[in-house]
Amino acid sequence: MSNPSFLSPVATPVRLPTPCAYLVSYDLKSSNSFDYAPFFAELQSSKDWFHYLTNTWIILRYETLAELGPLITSKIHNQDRLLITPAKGPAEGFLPPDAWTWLNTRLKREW
Amino acid sequence: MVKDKMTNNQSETFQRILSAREKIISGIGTPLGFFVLALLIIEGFLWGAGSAFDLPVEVRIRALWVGVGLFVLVLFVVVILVVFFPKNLVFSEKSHLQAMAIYGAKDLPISELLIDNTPSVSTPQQNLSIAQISISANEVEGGQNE
Repeated sequence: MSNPSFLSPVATPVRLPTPCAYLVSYDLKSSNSFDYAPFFAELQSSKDWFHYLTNTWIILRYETLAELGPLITSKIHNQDRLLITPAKGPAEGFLPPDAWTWLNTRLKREW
Repeated sequence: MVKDKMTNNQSETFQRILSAREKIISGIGTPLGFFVLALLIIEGFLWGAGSAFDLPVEVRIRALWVGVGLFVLVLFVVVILVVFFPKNLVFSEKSHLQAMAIYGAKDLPISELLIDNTPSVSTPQQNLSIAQISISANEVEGGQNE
């Protein structure tokens, strides 16, 4: 007799119906002995991404925050700093015109 | 007693030299820093050959010319690198992080050099908040009703 799905030991990942925007900000402190290529590859594998500031990205992902956190933090050194928060529009600042175009078309205006 | 004092002084001097040496080495983070260290070594060689070592005059003069030649050679190499390969001189142990990261967006990636040269503009008008847009709309409606 097969086990019911609620007894399955492996939790199935929850996929959001539409991608959610997350702000990822970091301080990478380790020297070049640590390979950060997987970290940047993970950010660039997002449905869409925004990187006009050196240590800040906005990524569009189908994962929830609870899933995304371990996925990204596993790819940095434990001496680094990282912050992931939901990203909402509109935004204020001083950026290239292409950056504003991306923000106006991708970020939901929720405040 | 005098001998002990001299030994203590010598060991203190030696310790100071060691710590100064460590500071200099720890300050080298780029190839340019390494060239600076090379020039310091040549300077030390020049000082030693000129006065510190008990060398015959002819040997001293030849050693000084060798030192000057090395100094000019290092200077020439640094000038060539500054003119033709400036980034190679200042590439540090964290430069690989910038080298790996691409800027821009997924459908419009741009290099670090281009993003440094792209001018920025302040927030465009269409970024007004919803509250500000509704206030503006109410003001227009109020004006029309009058």
